[in-house]
Amino acid sequence: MKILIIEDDLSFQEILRRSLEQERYVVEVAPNYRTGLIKLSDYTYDCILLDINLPDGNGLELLREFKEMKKESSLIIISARDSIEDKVEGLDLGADDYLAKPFHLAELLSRIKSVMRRRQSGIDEHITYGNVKLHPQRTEVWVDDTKVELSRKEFDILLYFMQRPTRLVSKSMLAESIWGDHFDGVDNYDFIYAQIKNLRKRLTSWGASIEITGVYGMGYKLIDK
Amino acid sequence: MKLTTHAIRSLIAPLILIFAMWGTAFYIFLSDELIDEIDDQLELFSEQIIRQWLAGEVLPESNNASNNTYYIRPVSAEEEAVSKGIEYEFKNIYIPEHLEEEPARVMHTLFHREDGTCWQLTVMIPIYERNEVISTILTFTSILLIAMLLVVMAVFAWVFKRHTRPLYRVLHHLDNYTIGHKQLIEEDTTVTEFQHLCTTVNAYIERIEEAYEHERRFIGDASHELQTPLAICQNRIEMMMEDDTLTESQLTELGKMQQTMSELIRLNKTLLFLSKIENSQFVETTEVSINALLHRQTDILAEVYESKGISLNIYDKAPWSIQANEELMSSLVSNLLRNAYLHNHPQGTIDIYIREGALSIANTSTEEAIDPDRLFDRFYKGNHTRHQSSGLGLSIVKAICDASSLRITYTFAQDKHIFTISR
Repeated sequence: MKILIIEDDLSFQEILRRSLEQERYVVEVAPNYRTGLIKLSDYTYDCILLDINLPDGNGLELLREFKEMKKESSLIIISARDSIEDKVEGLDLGADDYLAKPFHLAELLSRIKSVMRRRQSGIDEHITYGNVKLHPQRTEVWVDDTKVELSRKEFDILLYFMQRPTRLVSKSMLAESIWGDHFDGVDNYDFIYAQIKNLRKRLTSWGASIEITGVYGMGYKLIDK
Repeated sequence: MKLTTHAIRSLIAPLILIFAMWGTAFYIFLSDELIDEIDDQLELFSEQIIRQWLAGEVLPESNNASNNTYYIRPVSAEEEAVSKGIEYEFKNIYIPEHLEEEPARVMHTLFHREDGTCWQLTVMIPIYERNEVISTILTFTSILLIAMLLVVMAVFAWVFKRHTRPLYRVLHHLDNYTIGHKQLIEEDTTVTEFQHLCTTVNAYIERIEEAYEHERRFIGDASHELQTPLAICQNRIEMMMEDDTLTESQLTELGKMQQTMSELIRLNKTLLFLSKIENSQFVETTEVSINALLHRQTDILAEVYESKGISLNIYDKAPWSIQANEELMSSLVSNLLRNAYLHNHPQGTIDIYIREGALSIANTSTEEAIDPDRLFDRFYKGNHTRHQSSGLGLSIVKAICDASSLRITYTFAQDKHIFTISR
């Protein structure tokens, strides 16, 4: 899997590259519009991460040029701008996803996986880990070949873990993604613990091969037993 | 005191003084003139009598309906020596027709007969008519001067008001001026001073607006520029945490760092959001149901704050929908609710009332009433630093209300902090 990162901030570029390489992606980088355009026209990538603010041009312009090349690649915009208008404009131009800085690396990785899955399997995408299969669109979970029931919140949490198996998920990251801004200022994460406890019970009762383990009291990890 | 009143007041004293002096001078001049006139008459009269008396002709009757009287008496040589010849004086004389004494002008003239004897003629003209004339003149003059004084005042006030109109226009403009809504004064005056005032005020408005705009942009730009470094920092910590060889203490330390980073990122996002609201970047409006929004948000918050054991009562008195930006309304309600949960004590209560055009959220708290003047200030946290509140929640609420033409009021009653949003 080949990924091109078009990002002018070298430090940020380096982080993204290292993080993606750890996931066994082949990564190439372009620090500006010109290099980005050359690489896009000369090679084919599975996924492109595009920053909008480039020193010698606008990323959206680059996106337009890229769309005219009619290449089969996924493209994710990573931008410091996070207004709805910017997102809509980027997605309208044909980007597959829009991620506003700052984001969690785990978030980026699951978005990359998600857009690539969508490209491969069309609409009906699903995530499998161990003997558990999850359909994000249909909000359905299957263990082996049995459909199981769980609450909306539990589904969201399970989805979050399934998108980033074996990775450390801190309580604040989880809270931020499931409860949004609502947990801002909360000094106690009991509500997360309660939800995780329920989810663990369910996974055991379904006979799932995966489990959520605690990591030193600061977060959780989804692992396959 | 108004400028017009002030000017009129300081005009009144000198005007009264001038008019009084003027009136007095006029009175003195006029009465002197009248006396002169009478003296001339007396002189003519006595000349005629002396001439007739010396010639031995028949003298006019002492009283020929004019009340003029006279008598002639001999004068001794000693008396003649001290007399000035002709003397005038005022004296009350008895007028037989009036049966009483009346003021009169008296003239004494010394003259010699051919035989060398000295005689004195005393001629008297009653002057009560003249006194009447003078008092009439005095009355009319006073009335005239007072009327003149009033007219002068009125004219002055009118002229003054007319000419200071540009000044009041400038003041009115400044009263209505709010920072951030640039509006310059139109210069429709030909008075140099007022033109100068308008130009100067406009120049200051321009300068203030520029500084304000600059500050506004600065916060937005600074927060925006911070996004990438913050992202790098956060992601580096995350990368480090992926390392399986880390010990528990190292990982815990990194976890704390990450949490602080998250707070920093949230704070920066909030500032950016605030700056966007103030730059009116949320223009799209839809019909937003406050009731629905509120129920949705309380469901989530009740879950997050379950451990606090707070009892929540929502009283939907009436549905309330407003035409507004959905993102802003959502943030408004969310910030108010979060505020009510965050500053509440365990087992406290939150009462929410929704009426047509108004939403009230009342919560119990261990905190006393808050200073309403500082409540909406950025980073104002009152007397406590106990929770991780950013101190920006209510600033956002205020900014959203201002941007959406809503009114927010805070009251403290029956140990409850009550925030009310109304149209």
